[in-house]
Amino acid sequence: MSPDGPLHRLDARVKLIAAVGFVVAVVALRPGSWRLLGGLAAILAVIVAASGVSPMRLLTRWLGFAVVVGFLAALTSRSLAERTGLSPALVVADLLARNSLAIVMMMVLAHVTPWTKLLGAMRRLGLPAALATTLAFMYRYLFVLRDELDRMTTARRARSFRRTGLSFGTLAGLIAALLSRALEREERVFEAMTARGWDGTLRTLDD
Amino acid sequence: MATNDADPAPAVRLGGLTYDYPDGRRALDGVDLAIASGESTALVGPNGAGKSTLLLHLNGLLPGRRKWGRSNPSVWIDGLDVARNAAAVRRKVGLLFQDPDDQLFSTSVLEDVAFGPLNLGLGKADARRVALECLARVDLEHAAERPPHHLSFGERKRVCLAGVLACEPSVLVLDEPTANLDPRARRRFLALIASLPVTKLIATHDLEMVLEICPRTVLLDAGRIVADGPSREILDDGPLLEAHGLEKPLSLALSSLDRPHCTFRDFVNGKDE
Amino acid sequence: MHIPDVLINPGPSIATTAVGAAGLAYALRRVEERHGPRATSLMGMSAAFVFAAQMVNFPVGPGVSGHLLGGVLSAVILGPWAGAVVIAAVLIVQCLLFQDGGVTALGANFVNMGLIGAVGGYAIYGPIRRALGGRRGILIGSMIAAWFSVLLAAGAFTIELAAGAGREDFFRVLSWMALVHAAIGVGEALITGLVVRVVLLTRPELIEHEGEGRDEADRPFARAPGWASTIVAGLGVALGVAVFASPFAWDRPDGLEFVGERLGFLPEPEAPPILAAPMADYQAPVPPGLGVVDEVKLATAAAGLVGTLVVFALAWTMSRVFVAGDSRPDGVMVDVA
Repeated sequence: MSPDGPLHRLDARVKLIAAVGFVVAVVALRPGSWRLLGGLAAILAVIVAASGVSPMRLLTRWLGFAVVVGFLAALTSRSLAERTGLSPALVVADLLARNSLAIVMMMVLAHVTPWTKLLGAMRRLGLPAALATTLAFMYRYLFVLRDELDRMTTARRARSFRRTGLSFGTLAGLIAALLSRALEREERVFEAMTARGWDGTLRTLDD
Repeated sequence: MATNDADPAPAVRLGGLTYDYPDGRRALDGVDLAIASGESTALVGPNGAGKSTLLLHLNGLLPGRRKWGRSNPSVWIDGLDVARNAAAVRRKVGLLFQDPDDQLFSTSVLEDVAFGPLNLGLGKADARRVALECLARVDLEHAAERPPHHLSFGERKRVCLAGVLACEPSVLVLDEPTANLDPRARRRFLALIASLPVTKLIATHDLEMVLEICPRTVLLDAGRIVADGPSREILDDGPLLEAHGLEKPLSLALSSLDRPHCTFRDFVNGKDE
Repeated sequence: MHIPDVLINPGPSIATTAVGAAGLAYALRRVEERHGPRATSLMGMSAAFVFAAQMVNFPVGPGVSGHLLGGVLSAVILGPWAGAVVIAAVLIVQCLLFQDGGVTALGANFVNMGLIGAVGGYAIYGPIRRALGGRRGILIGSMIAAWFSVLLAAGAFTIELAAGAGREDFFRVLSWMALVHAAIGVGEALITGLVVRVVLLTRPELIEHEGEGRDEADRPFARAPGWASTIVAGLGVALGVAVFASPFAWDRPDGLEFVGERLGFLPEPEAPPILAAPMADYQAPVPPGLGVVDEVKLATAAAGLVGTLVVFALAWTMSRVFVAGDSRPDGVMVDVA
């Protein structure tokens, strides 16, 4: 992650609106508008180049989604083919292409905008404060809980003398233990927040 | 409670503090304690003695908590009844939690340090200034914009301290401040704590630290105070410490090695008297 | 399963975004009323938990694994509206940070997994829990609710995906969705049940809320154990069954055409002559490998039937732990550190 491209420095609100606008345009495009699609793809290519995100990374992540999207596109392609007069194969190609543009755009947005900046932008654009605060809090503890889960899994593995993975019961036990630890931690965090004057309204330095 | 000018109210006073856990177990059983302004006191005792529970009471955090445990209102900070003045008391008492991840919930270090000042009603500019000052005091102003989960444990601990100091407390309550710190981080953190001119109550198992920065020690076990006095005396009392799941600090134990009737075997077994 | 961008048409996308936003606003208000200043940390931590729990992979077969979705689990622990808020937070982070689920499908995904999954799931869980009582009721209720919540979400998914498309697409999507989600639903019921069981054995107060509970005032279906919740639950179950039974109605286009028009997934009355020879149409290998209609139809129905039986049997077997006075039996693995 390079924190220094021209796109990194842009106001997060501008980036968010532009990216979502791009996705909406792609979604609203009539199937078979190949020329417009090509234009949007060219714009996206310029943005990808400017963002400095590695194309290999985009490709590998995109591949993971393409399978599911292709399956769903194949399922819904028939009537769309009949209505638009395109062949079903072309309809699938069109859905896949448009979806790829949307996904790549969102990947680039996530790459050039740190989550906190994105969250601040959403809040200033009207996301309810309660939700924004919850999202910030969630993001903060995602890593803590993931590490906790890793430690518990390792401890379990160390005592499980089987070649195969952990059993369903053990895995469910891990989740239950994680749940109870998460709620205990929530209690302590809430106490720490209250100790510093928390009353339910988040006051932040920016905006 | 009546106070006269000659004898100002103690910074912290507990009068017969009793608290039951939600499941009915007794956590604190009639604890009486007074800590004078500016005093540094250690709170020691085995796991489950009630140390953390006691600390949470100093901030009014426990009695109202989910209305589970029952507790009598018997904590005063600077003469203020905690149960009735929770908001005012929270301005006076700064609580440092053991696990920095319990305390650092914001997405950036600066935001987290500014959290308390903003809640106390400071404007954004003032809160930012205070936060940066406090970060400078713990030597972390360069980390202001970073997310807390990218910092080391010791750094996170210092950010927590900055966040507490930003509220300008007159009483600092620390829960295991040195736990999980490597020796250099511990040393650094101790120096920081020792340099703060406020009333301190420190719950800990780190008895070497107690010898270093707390002139007074309170020994708590099973919710009762079993000893209260000068740290050197209490921490030199092997049988007392052992009876309550503690161990004489190495520095004191080593000095007792000089005594002629104490063999090395006795020393290893902890029977040095 | 998250709906990606583009696959959902603009019409249903706008509609579900509106419904989702309204539902989320209501859920947020309910949660704030209930939890006050605690709402942020409770919702945020629970969302982080659900996100982390979804990373635990349950091995199903070679190269295949499943994971918890968590809608019913969060509703059982936190109450229905808090459960919906938690799912919303998870979906937003997944969408914006991991591109899992489209931006324009965020509303639809929340409707499916938050409103239908968590709130709807709780509507099924509540009556079963009360009818059976005790920890047994909690366990069986949460497992059956988990099963139906996945099916209902799959049904809603299908409607959203195929809305604006043709009728025959609708049923093709429905069959496949139902087939796939029958497996996912059994997995969700099993994992939810296993987790709930361990929680009941180790930290029962997290669910039972003895005395002062988390969701005492937050149970829309707690007040009247009578007709209201029974109807909601009945509707839920009926819908779930319909998901599997409906492929059989495929052969009788008249009744469904009416439904189709009402729901708006028949674009224009004089649509291409798909009614002339529907079966011939479907047999055409349009998407290679997906045209074998009768087999899919039968498999769907069979999966629904088998899945329902399996979930009920599993729930009953696992709940036997709690029959004898709800006490902790020997030999049950609860020693997770």
